[in-house]
Amino acid sequence: MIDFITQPWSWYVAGILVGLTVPTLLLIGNKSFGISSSLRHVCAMCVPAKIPFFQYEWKKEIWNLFFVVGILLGGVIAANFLSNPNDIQIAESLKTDLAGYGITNYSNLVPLDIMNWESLFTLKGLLLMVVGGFLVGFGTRYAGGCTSGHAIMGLSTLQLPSLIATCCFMIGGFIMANLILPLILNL
Amino acid sequence: MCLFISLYNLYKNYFSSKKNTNTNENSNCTISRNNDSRTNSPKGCYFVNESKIEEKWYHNLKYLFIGIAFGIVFVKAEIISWFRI
Repeated sequence: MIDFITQPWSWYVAGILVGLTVPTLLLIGNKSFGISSSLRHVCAMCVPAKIPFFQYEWKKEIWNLFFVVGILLGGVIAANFLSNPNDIQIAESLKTDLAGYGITNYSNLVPLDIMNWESLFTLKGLLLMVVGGFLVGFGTRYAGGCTSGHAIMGLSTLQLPSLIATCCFMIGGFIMANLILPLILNL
Repeated sequence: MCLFISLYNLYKNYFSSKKNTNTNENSNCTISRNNDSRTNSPKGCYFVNESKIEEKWYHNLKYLFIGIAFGIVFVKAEIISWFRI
């Protein structure tokens, strides 16, 4: 049983579970699924200045922070108690490509060869972790939602802006992974 | 954990302050949009002072549990994996 749980879950299991989160939240509390909006709520709590963007009743959105803290705890539980003892399975051709950039460690969900404290202070690590994180945060607020918000909640409520955003996430991802990431990994 | 405790305190304060405003301003009936399916008032408007205030902080724990389940799915299905994304 525990082996069954610790192996990586299939896309058709995960997809259904992720999709069912939307109706679950709607049914138990009439809440709209969202993750990145929690950043705005935290800012609205902490920023004392009268910035119009933060002038709203954030106390009503506290459920969202509980949800996001829950996701963090879920990640901790899955990583510590349910983690897959084997290496991550990826295509052999990708393995050959990545080995060319010095990525050979597949024990973790992120490649420990480039995601570590030492490389944080190199140009490559700074671009991948700090600049990348900033761009994700900036784009998320600029687009009014993150990948989850648009692709999970937006698409399930048939919103055209979310469909455009999701298509652009994919286009951006293809461009980044195929054209720009090789340049960064070669630094 | 600290974040959790501070959230709890914040929430407790929020409800105690809400209760005060409720007793002071009972006659002040502000009409606003009804986004809450659990109120019985007609759709479109409800009285701010009579809704949601009954909710205790621990009602938000259900969102915490859904979040935990969601987080486990994200990690176990390798949705957040660098190699997949």
